[in-house]
Amino acid sequence: MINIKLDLEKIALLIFFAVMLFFGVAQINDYTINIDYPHGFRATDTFQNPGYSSYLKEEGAYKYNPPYASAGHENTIQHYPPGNIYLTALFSFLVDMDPYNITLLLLILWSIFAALVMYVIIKEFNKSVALLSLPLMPLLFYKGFMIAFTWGQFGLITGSFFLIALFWAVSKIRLKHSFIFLGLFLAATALSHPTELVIGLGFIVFYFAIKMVQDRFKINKDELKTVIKGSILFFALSVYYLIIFKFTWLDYFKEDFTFGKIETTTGAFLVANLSEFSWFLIPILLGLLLTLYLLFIQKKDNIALISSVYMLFFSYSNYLGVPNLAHRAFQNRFFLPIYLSLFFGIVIYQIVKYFIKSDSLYKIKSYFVPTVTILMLILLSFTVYEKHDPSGIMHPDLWNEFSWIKENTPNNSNLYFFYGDGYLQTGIFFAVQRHSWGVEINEYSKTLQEQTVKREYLSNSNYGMLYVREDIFRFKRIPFPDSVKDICNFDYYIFDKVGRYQPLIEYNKLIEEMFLKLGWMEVVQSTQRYDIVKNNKPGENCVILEN
Amino acid sequence: MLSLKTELKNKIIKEAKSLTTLFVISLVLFKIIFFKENVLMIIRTVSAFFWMFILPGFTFMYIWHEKLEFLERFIISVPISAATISILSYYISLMGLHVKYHPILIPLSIMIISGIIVWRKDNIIS
Repeated sequence: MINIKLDLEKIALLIFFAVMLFFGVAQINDYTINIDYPHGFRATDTFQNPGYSSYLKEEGAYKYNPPYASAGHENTIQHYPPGNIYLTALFSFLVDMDPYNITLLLLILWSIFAALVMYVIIKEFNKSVALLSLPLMPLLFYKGFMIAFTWGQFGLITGSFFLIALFWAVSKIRLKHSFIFLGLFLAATALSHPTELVIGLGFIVFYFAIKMVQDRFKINKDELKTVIKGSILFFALSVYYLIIFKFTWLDYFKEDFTFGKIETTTGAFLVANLSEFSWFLIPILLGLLLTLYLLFIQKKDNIALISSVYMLFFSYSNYLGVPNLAHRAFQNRFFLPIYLSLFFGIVIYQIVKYFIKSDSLYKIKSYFVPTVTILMLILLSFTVYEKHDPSGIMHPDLWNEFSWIKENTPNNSNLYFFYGDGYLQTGIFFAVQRHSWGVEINEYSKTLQEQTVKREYLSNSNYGMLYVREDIFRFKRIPFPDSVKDICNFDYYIFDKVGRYQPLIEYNKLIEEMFLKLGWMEVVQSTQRYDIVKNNKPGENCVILEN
Repeated sequence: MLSLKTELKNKIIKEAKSLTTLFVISLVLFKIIFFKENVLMIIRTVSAFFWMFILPGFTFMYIWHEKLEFLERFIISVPISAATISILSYYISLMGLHVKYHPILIPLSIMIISGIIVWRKDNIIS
């Protein structure tokens, strides 16, 4: 009897794992692991993390930013959180795959294990509820929530993975030496995505606040000691990066870290919302009410209850006018399918208990609940969970183009990309690993309308914040290079022959022909989709207009 | 003392079998899901994941083997491994050791050190 019970739980977990892997990455990767080019990268940010991992693999350490992503500077301090960059690079060594092609698989695995850790946390509250929470979690790869993966919220994903692990650590606060878990996961959030560090620290405060309310303002001294020891460990493990973070990110995005109420934010963050849950929202809201009842009326101090309420609270803290980290509240909504899964499970469990007229609660827990979980996972796989395709900014032709450039041009080459659909998201330049600028499409269109060719164009690059470390606590900000570029100064030009805007493609062709007439430029690579032209006299006037 | 050591040994053997079973199940599952991938790549990927993200954390979590059940230790071994490896790799690389050595050295070191702690802890208790 016991064996059957254990098997059903494990079978449910295995099916859950398979469903998450299938809808998270298998379809995007076209059911392979060793893909030829990055699939499903649909925005500029997706290229940063694997771009830094590639550089780390070459350099051996991520101390400075790659010169090709730093306007040629070789000593701008590494500022991007290193956590997932290192994990991707190390894993890529083991599987002998390009970091670009292994990134999505790893991030999906972090998400699956984040979901499983949440399962463990909820299981401590109630095993049946934990099982019935599972079917909500694959919505992580559903509609707006999936944007975290395809638009490059990779820091958030890794940070959330460690944040959920931190919730687990707090649930073990009475375990001997549990300060190690606290310190380790706090440091891991700091090195992956410091927003989750702030949320994690807030959670510890929230946990003690709830406990104080429940225990008539008494604090458990042993728990407090564990938190203090954990904080010391966290500080020791993360202070080096936190200093960098303070003098780079916090300096660069000062306005982002203001306190106060905001009701809207930009771009991708808006799309992950409670409305994405569709009809699932009804049980979620009912579950929230039940959870609040258990927490504040019945005074249950379980971490599953506290963390779920806390994350819902944080995700919507922008509307309450409480201090928050601006749009970070919106950003954390991407993980709501995991954070709110308890609410869903708790209601479905009540329904199962109501409808299954069994005399034995044991039977419900042992047979019916795992069976219902398995059936729900299978049913929702065929009806609700969303299928994804490999489409994205990158495609095989473009990947081959970048590979050719990496193999055939000097490392310090300057590239100029004329109009091409793939280059509008400039993060893609990380993948070419050369100093790259792309023409700004509006200005390019305007000069086409004026029927002329200019020597200088407003241009875009993948350069982000640039700081040089002068001392432990002294950082100098390097000004962003002038975005108006003289096109004659580049070593190589990329002319696309295919694109959505045919007039701009014709314009590309016109400029290429003008360059080739000069005599010192030559086509070094030509395919059906693009030409690469080498400039043998960079700096010479290259814009000579005829009629 | 002898019986406690034998008990620990038996538990390790039993859980090693469970880990092996999970490894084989993962191989099968990955092959079904990534059905267009060749078997060698599946073996390489799953083995790499177990080497880097399961075994170090699982060995470390053995310190609490009496308090936490197998499934919980297995699941939490992934964030434990990922957290420890990313932090150690970051600082060790800044000290000068190229990251190409880390995927082998760091998980191995975590496993050895954790193994020693578990063994010594068991001795101290007994």
